[in-house]
Amino acid sequence: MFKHTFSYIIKILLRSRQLVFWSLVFPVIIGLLFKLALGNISNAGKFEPIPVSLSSEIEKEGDFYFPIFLDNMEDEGVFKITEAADDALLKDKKVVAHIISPDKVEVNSPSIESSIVESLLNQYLGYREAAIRVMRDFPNTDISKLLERQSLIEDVSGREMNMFNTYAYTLVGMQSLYGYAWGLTIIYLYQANLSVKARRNAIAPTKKSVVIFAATLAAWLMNMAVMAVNLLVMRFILNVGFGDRLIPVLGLVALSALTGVAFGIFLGVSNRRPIETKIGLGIVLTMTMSFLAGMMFAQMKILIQRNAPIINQLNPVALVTDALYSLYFYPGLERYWLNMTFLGAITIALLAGSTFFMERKNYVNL
Amino acid sequence: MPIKNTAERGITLETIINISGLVKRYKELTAVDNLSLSVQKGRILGLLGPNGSGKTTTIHCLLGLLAYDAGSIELFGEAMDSSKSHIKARIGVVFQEVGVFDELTVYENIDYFCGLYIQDKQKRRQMVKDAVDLVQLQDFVKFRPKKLSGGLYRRLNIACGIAHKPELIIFDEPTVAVDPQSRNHILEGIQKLNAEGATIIYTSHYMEEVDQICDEIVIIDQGRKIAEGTSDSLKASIQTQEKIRFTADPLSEAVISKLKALPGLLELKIDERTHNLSFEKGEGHIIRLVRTLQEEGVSYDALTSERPSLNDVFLELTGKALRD
Repeated sequence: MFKHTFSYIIKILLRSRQLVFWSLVFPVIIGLLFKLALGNISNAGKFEPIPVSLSSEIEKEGDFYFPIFLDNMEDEGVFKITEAADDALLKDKKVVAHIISPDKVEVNSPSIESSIVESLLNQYLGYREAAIRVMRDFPNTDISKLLERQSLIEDVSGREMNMFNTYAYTLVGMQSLYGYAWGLTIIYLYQANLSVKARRNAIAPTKKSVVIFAATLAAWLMNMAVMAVNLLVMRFILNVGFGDRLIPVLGLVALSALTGVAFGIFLGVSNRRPIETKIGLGIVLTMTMSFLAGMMFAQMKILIQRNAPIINQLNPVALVTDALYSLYFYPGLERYWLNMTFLGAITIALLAGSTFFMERKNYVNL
Repeated sequence: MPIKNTAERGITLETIINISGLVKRYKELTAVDNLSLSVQKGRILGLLGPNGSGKTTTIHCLLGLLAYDAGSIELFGEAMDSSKSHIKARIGVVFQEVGVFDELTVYENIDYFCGLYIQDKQKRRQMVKDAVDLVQLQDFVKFRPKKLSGGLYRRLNIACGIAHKPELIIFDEPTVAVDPQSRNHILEGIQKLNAEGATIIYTSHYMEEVDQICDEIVIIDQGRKIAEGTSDSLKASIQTQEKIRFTADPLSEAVISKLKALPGLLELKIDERTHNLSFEKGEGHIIRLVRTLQEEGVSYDALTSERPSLNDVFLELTGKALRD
């Protein structure tokens, strides 16, 4: 029975033109559009020195180490420093920040660059504070070792930051969730209160758990297959970087494909709204999650991470995006596994919820 | 040669379906109200009633798809519930709405549904072929359902429901929106299945079909059984036993009075030139009517006499026509 159901469901899903289009072709088209729109700013992510102005009063601060720190920053290509009597350059938006002292810096508006400036100055202040405390408590310490020049920004990924990559990662996340359509389709074939075909299946002497498992497996494989095809298109046609750790990428594809299918099944069984409403709801939720993961506005995910990180942890698209990002840029797998754990938990919750709704043997209404 | 059913062939009857005191409520609405019925092996039972009378709900309860509020259902001598696979394996259903896969061909659709019952591929191949032959879709096996006409589409729906050769087949309004030719194919097919030994429940609001193929009829309205019996016994149970109709120019009051005085007349209805007279059981009604019209010098034509129909039975029992 498993084989019979599985083979026919694969056949049915493969021949569902609309499903294949929306699951496979649509994300590829969006990817191409992204490439056209963002391709020319792909190098914009390369780290350029941040222009800052430095108050000419800085010497009066009496901090011996601060000018050395700033020199180092300039040598490392982190800052491009211009001395200025006042903040005129900042007002003219020719610099990102005007540094008056280590703990006093003016910025025009919050941005990644201004955040980096603030963060580096905070880090300097931390070191200075530590040094002062050490000197006070252990006067014989060799302070020069403590304040030995350190590279504060070190690219350990060996990769080039590419804006298009991060958009492409959200696209992979979006596609995995679009797999809801496969899940919705199969559950409409087996949940008797949803369609006549399902009623036909329900009256047959088959074990519901076996046929639903077979159909879910078929839907999962289909979603994985379209995701794999899309990944190949992204990698070899759109030149999106996914790093060289193939197995973790495939693991992520497998899990996120199941998340998408589970999302569709849950959407199908959890309410009695018409199928058209459920399809619309699936699209709206997927697009909302993609938006929150930064698909339309790259800073969105960062904003959420700062203000309400739980949303990112509950958003499968954000989790997929972040997992791919971490695989590409991070040497370790800790962040990847954290994302995988959250994604797995969401998938289990969706499947458990669906099972709860499906468990009934007969219905009050058909 | 007319096809004989099991009963006519003298085969001993056993009870296949036994429904007792079935009650199904949807909140305030009682869809099935204390319904009891039984079906003997090899019979065709017609469930006749207007749309919304509770026929389909009864079928869904019977199949274990719907939970019900009271009563009991036994199939093949056993209490039925949705977990009883060995009972389900003996049943075939043709639902009112067509439930086939647009992505599969005619052959694949039948094979898929048959495969839910029959694992052996060799055996299944023969069964699918038999089903295709029965509904006469031989020329369309490679077609996708959307390429079929409405009638052929319905025939595919039937083939999917009966390919596994079930002992009990339930047809729920299988001829809705079907052309006369396909309708006849379908009815002939049902009679053939019955002749091969299948017990059948046939629900419809088309009284002619029920009259044509069913051995026994249960008439239901608003979830209640209002009558049961054979077509003849149901018709015999009502007052109207002969309906005579003729067309003529408007009759004078004197003639109308004479017609109203005809012995056994139950009702006289005049609709423009058409005159409908209902008579109770008796002989010579048409002769007396013709004689009266001739005596009064009434010129008439299209004079017909007919037995009461199941619609008359329904009308007399409920005060409304079956298709209201």
